[in-house]
Amino acid sequence: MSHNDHQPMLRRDYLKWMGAAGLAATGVSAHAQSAWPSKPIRWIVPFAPGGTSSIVARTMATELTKQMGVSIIIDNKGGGGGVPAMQEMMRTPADGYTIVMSHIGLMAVNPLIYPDSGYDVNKDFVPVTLLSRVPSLFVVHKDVPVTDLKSLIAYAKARPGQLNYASAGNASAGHLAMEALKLASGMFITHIPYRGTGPALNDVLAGRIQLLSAGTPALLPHIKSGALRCLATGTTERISVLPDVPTVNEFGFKDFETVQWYGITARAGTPPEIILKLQQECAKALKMPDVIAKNAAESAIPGGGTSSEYAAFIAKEQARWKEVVIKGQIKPG
Amino acid sequence: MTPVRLALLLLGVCGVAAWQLTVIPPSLMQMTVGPVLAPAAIVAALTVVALLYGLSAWRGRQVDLSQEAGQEALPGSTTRMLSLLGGGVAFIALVIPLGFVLPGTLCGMCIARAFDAPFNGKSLLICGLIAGVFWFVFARLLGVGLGPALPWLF
Amino acid sequence: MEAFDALMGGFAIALQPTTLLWGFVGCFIGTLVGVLPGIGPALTIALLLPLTYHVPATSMFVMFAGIYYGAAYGGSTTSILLNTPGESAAVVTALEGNKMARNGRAGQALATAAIGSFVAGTIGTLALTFFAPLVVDAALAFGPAEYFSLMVLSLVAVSAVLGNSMLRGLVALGLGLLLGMVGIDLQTGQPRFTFGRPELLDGIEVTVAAVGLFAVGEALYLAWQGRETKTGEVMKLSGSLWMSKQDWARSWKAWLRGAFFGFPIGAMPAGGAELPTLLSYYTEKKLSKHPEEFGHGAIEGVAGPEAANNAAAAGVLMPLLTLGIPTSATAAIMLSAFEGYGIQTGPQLLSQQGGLVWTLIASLYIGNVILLILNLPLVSLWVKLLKIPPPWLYAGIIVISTAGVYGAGNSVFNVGLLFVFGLLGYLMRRFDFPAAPLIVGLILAPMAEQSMRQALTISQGEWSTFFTRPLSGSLMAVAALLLIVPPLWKQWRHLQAR
Repeated sequence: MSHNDHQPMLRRDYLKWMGAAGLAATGVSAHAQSAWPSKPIRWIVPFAPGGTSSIVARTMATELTKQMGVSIIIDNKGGGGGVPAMQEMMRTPADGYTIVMSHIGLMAVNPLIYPDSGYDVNKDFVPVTLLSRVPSLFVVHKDVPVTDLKSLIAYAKARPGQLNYASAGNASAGHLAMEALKLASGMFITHIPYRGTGPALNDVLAGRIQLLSAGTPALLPHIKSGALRCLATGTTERISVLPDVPTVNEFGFKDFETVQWYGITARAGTPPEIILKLQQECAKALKMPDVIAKNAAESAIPGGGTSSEYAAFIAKEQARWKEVVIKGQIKPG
Repeated sequence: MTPVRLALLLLGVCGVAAWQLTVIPPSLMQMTVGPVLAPAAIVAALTVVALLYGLSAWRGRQVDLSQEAGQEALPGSTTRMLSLLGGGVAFIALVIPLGFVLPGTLCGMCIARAFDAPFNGKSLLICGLIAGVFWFVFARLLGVGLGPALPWLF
Repeated sequence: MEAFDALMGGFAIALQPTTLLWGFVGCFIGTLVGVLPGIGPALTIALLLPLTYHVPATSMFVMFAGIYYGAAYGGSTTSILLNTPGESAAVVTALEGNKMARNGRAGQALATAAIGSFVAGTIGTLALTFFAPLVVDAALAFGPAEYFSLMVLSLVAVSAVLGNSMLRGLVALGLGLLLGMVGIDLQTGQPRFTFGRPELLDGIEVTVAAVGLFAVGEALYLAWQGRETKTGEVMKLSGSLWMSKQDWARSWKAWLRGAFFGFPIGAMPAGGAELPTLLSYYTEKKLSKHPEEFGHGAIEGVAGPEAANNAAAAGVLMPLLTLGIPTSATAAIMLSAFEGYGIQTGPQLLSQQGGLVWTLIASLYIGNVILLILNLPLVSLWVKLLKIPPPWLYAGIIVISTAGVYGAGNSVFNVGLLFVFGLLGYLMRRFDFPAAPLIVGLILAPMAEQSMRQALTISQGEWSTFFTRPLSGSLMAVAALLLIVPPLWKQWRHLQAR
């Protein structure tokens, strides 16, 4: 009967559809593997939303979204020195759909001060590309009677322990930079940590503290107005916004480089083609006018180099900061 | 739970805090006030006040507001309390594997149960709506990281 | 006056229909998100700020002003209605505000908060316009020693919120101070009281503690009691929603005093908005003609702190604009926002980019006005919230709080903390321990300890620095007077009466 006929028909149809669906599924997944990216990418940023690094991330994400056609979604996971963010990263599959923003603290300093974080930055992660390097400036309050870095070192050596320097916190970029300078020059100055650049800057401007090291954006207006005097920059070349300020290297300290840097890192085991593609997209994005403008505002030097270049850079930084952290007895912060 | 037991609990907290003080690694840096002074002072002060509270409670002079007339807990109080806390536990346990909406709905239903609303379709619907709408507002519109709404949906 | 002309110029740019429309939108969403417990003003602004990049340039500022002030105001609404501070600065408002609401005076509480916020915001913006350099110089004079003395003064002010029993209040305060010590010691980098958990390295977040103690704790206690559902409604509403003449008379001075506290302290780095609300509450309690009402719904206790809160929000802008120094997490976000708007903050801001800045300031005024216009009618809407049956109301509050806390920290650990604080809140509610001192202790402890140690390092170990430095010494003297004089005064009056 027609009613009975339906049943075998339906079953045959059902099998047909299942077969077709199965084929389609395998076809789709094969497609997905070869055409990365095919779904949104999650970018873990180990800072609270709103800071400078988040701005860098957001600008890059906007560009990359336009270029690659899929959304790059920023996932802010601040706090704990970045350790929880990396631990979260460890829980994601190595398929190139989750990346993390790596920076000097996470890669070079944390391994020394958080030995049991549950991951190894070199073995469990693979660097993709360096995004930018932000120079650290060394400034003094205008009333401090020194004219350049040499006279500062002499001044400090004449009164050990009496000069103070402020920082944005323990193990912050400014703290590390100043400790590096201390190590290189042999000065004995006292560290006074604050919670963030703001309060630190406040006390330096008021003259209560004599020295400070921080990034360009926060200090530039005060250097220009004369409230602070910039003695040196921690970059390898002079920076364009302050062409009269010598680098620390110029005073005879070879190989001295203190910059705050950011990059992208993925899970170890991510297919190399995906890493290469991502790096190339980033290099392209870094040349876009919006991104160039943001970097110029910070006097940041854009990156975009290859994965192995970034790996070599990280290794160099780890070696450099290991010495500073140990000699400066820097603890988690 | 009476004031005396509360005082004992408090003293227990002070004890744990004091133990934690000893665990703070000594600092190698030279400073007038180290990392232990301020917390130690606070633990000492808290212990003193807790002892005074305990003595006062022992003498029966401390209040338990739920003993006042018209304020006693109605029967079933423990169930209600556990229900509310259970909602929290459910959320914590389930949010990572199951996304936001399902544990959120369950949490809401447990809390509603704590206020005597039974586990029924109405509860499911209302709590599901609350969880769903807020996932949408927070995660979609505002970009707060709440994870996926449902496990198979991004 | 040059400044005035420039300001008028700014107004000309800002007062246009599309601009005002976006201002309304900004105020609305700012308030809405600020209302959500667990989402503090910093996160609110971080979340909503990107929206401003999509609107026309002239409207950006007004929308931003709306979001900024809206976030500051939003936290107080839930504080008053549901005893759930949306942010830590609204904790003090909850003390009197919620009591007023329970007495059926929710409308008046909300109204005084709204108007007070407007008055303070206007005063703050005025001060920003005309006195910015002066106040900034004064704020610069505050070093670590002065901060410590300010904290000592605040500790004395805590006595105002200790509640019925000083002993129990002190226990709460001590517990709060202890909890404030959790985390990494800033000076040495040593972890303290963290039990090896990385989530605790940054300490216990005040929002989590406040929302846990107040919202979850209250819900837990009421659930345990089981009486809420019997009455059917969370609270009754009697009489009109508007402030009486007497309410106005009692509020206006509190507004002014609150603004006076809020603005300079907001301008100081690490000043924050919580301290001024505490100091304002203390002052209002001491100066009030009806001190017995405090703790049961005194309107000054809402007017003052709310004004202080908003004035502090305006105060934060000063060092931000003139020195480029962000004095709070919110300010740090705004700094990046201003860079996005093309404002290069710093000492040369006014001279080099006057036009933009005056537009911003004009927008702040306008945002303030829009907020008032928007919120006064909304009062009746908010109050209707209370008619929701308890199971759904509390389910909603706690699920939203959980969402807020989970989203803000993106960790279940914080959610766990939320409920632990909820349990603590239940115990405190049941045994009559005041919650406010705990929150205040949590906020004050790390700031006070840090300032003390910084000051000692700068002075090379001299403890006398707190008394020999003029500003610090005067603050200490005031604190000492406040501690000693009232009991002595009472004794003297007592002897006189004999």
